[in-house]
Amino acid sequence: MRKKRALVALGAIIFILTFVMAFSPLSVAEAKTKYVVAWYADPGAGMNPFLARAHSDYIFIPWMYEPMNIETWDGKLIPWLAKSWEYKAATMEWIFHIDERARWSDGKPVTAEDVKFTFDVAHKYDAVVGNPTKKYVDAITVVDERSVAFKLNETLAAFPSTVGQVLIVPKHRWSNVGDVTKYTNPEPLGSGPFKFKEFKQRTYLALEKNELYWQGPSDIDELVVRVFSNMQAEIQALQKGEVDFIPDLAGVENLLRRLSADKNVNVQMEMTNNTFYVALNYRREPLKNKQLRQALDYAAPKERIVTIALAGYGDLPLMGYFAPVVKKWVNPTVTWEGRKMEEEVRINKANEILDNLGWKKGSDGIRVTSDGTKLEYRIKCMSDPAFIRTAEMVKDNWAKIGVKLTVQVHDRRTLYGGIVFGGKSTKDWDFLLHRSVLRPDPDHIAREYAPEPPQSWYNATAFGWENDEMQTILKKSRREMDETKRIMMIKKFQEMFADELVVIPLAHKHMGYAYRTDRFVNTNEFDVYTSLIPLVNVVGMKLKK
Amino acid sequence: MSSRWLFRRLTSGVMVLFAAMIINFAIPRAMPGDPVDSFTSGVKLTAEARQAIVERFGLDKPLWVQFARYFVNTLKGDFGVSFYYFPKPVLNIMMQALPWTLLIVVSAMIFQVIIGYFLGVAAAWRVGTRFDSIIQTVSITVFSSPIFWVAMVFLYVFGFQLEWFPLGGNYTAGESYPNTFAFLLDVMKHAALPIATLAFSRFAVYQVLMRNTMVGVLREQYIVTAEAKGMGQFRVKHRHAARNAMLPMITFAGVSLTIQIGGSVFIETVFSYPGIGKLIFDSVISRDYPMLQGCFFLFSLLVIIGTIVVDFLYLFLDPRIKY
Repeated sequence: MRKKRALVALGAIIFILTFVMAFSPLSVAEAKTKYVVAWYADPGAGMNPFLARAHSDYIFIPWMYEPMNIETWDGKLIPWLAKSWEYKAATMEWIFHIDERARWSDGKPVTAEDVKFTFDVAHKYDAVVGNPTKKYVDAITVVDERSVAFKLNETLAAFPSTVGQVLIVPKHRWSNVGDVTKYTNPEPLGSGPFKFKEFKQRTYLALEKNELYWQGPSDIDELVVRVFSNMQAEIQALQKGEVDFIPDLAGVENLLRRLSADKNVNVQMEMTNNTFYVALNYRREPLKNKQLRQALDYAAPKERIVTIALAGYGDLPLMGYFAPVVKKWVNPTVTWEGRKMEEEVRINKANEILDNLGWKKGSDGIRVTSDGTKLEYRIKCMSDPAFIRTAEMVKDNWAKIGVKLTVQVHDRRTLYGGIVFGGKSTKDWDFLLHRSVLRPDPDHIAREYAPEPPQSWYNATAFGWENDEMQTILKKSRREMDETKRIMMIKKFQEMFADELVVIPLAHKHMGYAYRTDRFVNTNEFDVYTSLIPLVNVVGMKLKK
Repeated sequence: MSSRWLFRRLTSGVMVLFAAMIINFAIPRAMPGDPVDSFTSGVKLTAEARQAIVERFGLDKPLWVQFARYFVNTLKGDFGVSFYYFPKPVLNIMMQALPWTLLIVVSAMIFQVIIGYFLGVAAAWRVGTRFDSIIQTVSITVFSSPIFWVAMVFLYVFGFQLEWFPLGGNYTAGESYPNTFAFLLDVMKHAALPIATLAFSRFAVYQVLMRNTMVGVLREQYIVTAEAKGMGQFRVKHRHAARNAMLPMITFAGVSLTIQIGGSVFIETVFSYPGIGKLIFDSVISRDYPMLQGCFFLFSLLVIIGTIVVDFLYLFLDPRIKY
């Protein structure tokens, strides 16, 4: 009996202590200039820049390791570790000149040897990051201490922006590693604005200011990138002051109005090269019929998709696959023909097109083509509320023109890896609600729509789409070194893309970030390609005086 | 307890574990999608670069070779290298996650059992009264509420509005602690809401089990005898009735440990808690075969150990049971 009482008493003490402790304030002093960035996923690559492949990896690693240049949404390249570059046509060489100020956090200079080493090992060990350049590079040579030459085996106009996707590592720390893809890099040393302090997988990355940073030390002493798996909590943490910066607000658009009203928070939602569209499986009949695609385009409720599904954070699309923000490459004339029409008028027009084809509606309201094919399809999308809402809206509108859709929702990996794009994909789909966030340089689009060689993971192959004329233009544009001519080619491609309605663009979705304004001011609101937003912005964060 | 029983029990445990290993190997591979596509996260590689990853993961080998390797290595305690966290070993990642889940699940289970026990005993003692009805209604209502919703409400009220607790994580990210006590304090502060949510959402199972078994036990002759002998109410209730009514609750607790660990994914997602439930969920999404095999193996092992422990506990709780 005594033992039992003692046990009960002990239990009661633990219970009370737990709650007393839970409500007690922390006795830990807060650092004055600690800055917390919230991110919704864990970096699979850990701290190894050679294993970087996903958006999350580029949120965590570039605080320490930097690229040669950074691409902006309007198509420009901001020099970063490389201060300039030039092309020698006679020898097919790109020469990059490293900024003399650039140095590693141990004080040693960033040299041409480091750049050569980084690309050599990335190519040798088939690191994902080295893949875009490996095919084109014959040799990398050190010209002088700060200049490095990439000799190509064929011209590639987008080479400088492709080089910018690789983060440079110090040779003196990596030369004895061997296979860099099998290294966890426990003590990272880079050239970036912050130095490694501690990394807890699935939890956080802690960094401290690099006093020797070549662009000038940051005003932030300690930086923490904290992993959140709940985006609503991330928003609440920003409002509460537990975090200072959220680099990506995708998926929480419905919360942004309230967040914007917070006087201590600045929300930046802007257009990027993010196109939301319906892709078609050209293997399905009669989706090759351009008039059918025209009818489907008219009947798509694009305005309502922008205002309802995207909560107003979007714009009506241009039809050439480029968003207006990519000023250098966009063809602004390829506007949507239906933008000035009422939705009802557009639906009537779509019905008229299909009536003229002679495809009559059956008793169930579904049209049947002249060869007896019923216009009854599946539209697949990933399990994101904006996607599901959009798919349902498209389904309702297309039903009005006699095209029946069934919405099928899948997790992202199953949909893209298992059904549409993957190496083992089943290709068992009709329509796909898809979103492309494309790098500004059109080389990316050229690879997607004119892949060399065709592989199931490129759009053209996955969609079963072919068009000799358009694909020839794209292939030529990749090798055209005269930028004016290249721009002309890309603009021509957009005209043809819009005219052919290769996909049905629905909107250009806005993307953005939010940060607290009570302690820091952002002096660097660059319009940079998404993954490097935190790096560029946080470098520009200055303490409020 | 005979040695024959012990031998049979352990043999069946090993056979179950072997069957579980086959299933654990087959299920991840039956999922649609490709781990290489998941690893590259949509980066479009050349066929050669893709093949290099396939070889790095050992997926170029025939299935039976992959299974044999998995089987032999597992027996040696080596679960291989994670695909998603490549080249980190599965065991390291799992062992980083498991203690955090055990902390919240075991703590919550202690609260669930204590609350369930006392409310169950009280309700059974006053069966058919208004008190009993209220307890039953509250229990069923709480149990029927989706756990992620309860978690969101707790997070919003106690984390955001009242600011009593942090909004996620297992401890303050990147903090330097003056001593271990300060660290433990911070850990408890972060674990309080996940524990409270789990305890609140699941105590009803124990309460209902305890109440229903106890109602039956209270009708037994020996209870009437005990009361007739003039034994005190507390003693009759807790020593004679409740002790015998506890067996189903103990059985359930043993089995439900693994169910709760696996089901902690909702709690861990809402509270951004880096436990093993969320790790399994992420591994399913990223098609991380070795990680799934490792986690499922661990669960199978825990279930088997849990049921053996419960069998032993029976011997102490009910002297009538002999093996």
